[in-house]
Amino acid sequence: MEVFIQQTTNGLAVGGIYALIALGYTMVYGVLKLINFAHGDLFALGAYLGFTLLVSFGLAGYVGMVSAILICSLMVMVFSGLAGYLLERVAYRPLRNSDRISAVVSALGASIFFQNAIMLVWGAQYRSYPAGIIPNLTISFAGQNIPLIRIFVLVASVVIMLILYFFINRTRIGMAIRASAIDQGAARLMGIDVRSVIALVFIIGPALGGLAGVMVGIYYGQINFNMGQMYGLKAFTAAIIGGIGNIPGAMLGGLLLGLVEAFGAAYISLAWRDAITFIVLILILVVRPTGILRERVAEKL
Amino acid sequence: MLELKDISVSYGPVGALHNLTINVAPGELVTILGANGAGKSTTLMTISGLVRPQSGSIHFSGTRIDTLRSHEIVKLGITQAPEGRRVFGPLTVRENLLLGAFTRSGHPREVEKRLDWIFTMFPRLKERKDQMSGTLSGGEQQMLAIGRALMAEPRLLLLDEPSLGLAPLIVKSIFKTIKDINQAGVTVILVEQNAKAALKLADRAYVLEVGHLRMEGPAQDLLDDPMVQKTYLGVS
Repeated sequence: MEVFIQQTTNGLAVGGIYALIALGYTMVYGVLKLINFAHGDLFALGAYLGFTLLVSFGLAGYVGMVSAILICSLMVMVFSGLAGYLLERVAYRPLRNSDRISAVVSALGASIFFQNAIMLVWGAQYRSYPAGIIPNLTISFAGQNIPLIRIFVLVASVVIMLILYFFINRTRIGMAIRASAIDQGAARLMGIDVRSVIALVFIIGPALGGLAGVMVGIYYGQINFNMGQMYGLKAFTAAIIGGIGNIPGAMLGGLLLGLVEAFGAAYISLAWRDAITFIVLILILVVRPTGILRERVAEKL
Repeated sequence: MLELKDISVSYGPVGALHNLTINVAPGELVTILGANGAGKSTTLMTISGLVRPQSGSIHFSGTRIDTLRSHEIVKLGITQAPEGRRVFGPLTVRENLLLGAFTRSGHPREVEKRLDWIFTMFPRLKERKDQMSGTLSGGEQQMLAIGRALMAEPRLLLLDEPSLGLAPLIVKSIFKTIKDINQAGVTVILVEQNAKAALKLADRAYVLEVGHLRMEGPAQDLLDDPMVQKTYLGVS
């Protein structure tokens, strides 16, 4: 029971992080039918920007811990969003009318670029977020002590996802994003500026990804320049599980994958954790390539 | 009101339109006829800015529009109900209509009024306003596509094959609605394969053949023309 509760909460927290990253993959895919392979690296960039703000700049020394985390998160979202926007302008927009394979190659190139840029700027060694940035407290739940930081990560990711869900489904711009994902030509005939919609999606996705990077830094304490590879692959798996292009699917897929990993690590073997993820990916691709939400949510995005 | 001058369009090496010149006066109902591949849809997509002409120019009420982007053209007052209807299937009827008013969303009261007007014109859409539009019948989807194009309060409405795949009775009612819309002051360009019905409805007509303008004139003259009768009206 102890392991079960600990791993459930842990899985949901990690899953929330996967979900935030997965949203970036799925939104871009929804509108452009393109996998943004550089997305994982924008997530890593977010983690490093957070590191610079919290450690090098010592933000907490000026404004206190709580405000420091808030300000840091906001600034990282802004900068990651900006990086995403530039990525779209430089690496994808010029190829809008080319073959899809050109865009894929460009995406892979952008990924390598970001990884190396991060390594050059911040170095190849592991970097540490300040310990105890969230006070090392625990909360009692069902007789177990759950770390406060775990609750914080889970709640923060769920709140962000709810905001995004509301934005996509209830606002005018959200409707424009959905319409562009369903039928780009028809969306243009409605007077929607699809080019701006695409740019916006490339801002929102990396902003969420960058935030997830800060969360990983806070949650695990350590970051590395090529962390975007593994997290990117996992979040991509989460997006596939939920049905790529489907926003609620990415949220659900992320949380599910977090749980599967946590239980796999606890009950099977920690060494098998990553393998389990990719076994799930292969199973989904073989058995249900459109993802688990296909039937109930017919729409993409 | 709308002037296409020497418009040429090609998809890669394949020419789709060759030096097409079309003029539409305010309040007119003009039809463009032709077989599959004649360039009818390309003409409408070029006007809407989704396809770029290689040469020539398009002016709308004195403004050159062939260099504008599609959303700017919608803002000027040209909307389209495209071929195949292309309603947003996973969205509700109401959401589809509101998307049609995307450029008007600064004026919520007018949009509500417009929505009521569309619902009076198409009571079926009102009954199904909260239904996913992908579940509508073909005729209802066509009504939705036309209603959606009207939501932006266009001055020029482009209709691409509104009769395609619909039962004759429904076609009749759609065509009557098109006439009503035109009489309410909206200029209409109607692309059709159902040449007879279109010619009976229209003031003037253009006939395209593999990207070339073959004939133009008052609709009644074309109805009486032996070549048109033979080729497009099935009279032998």
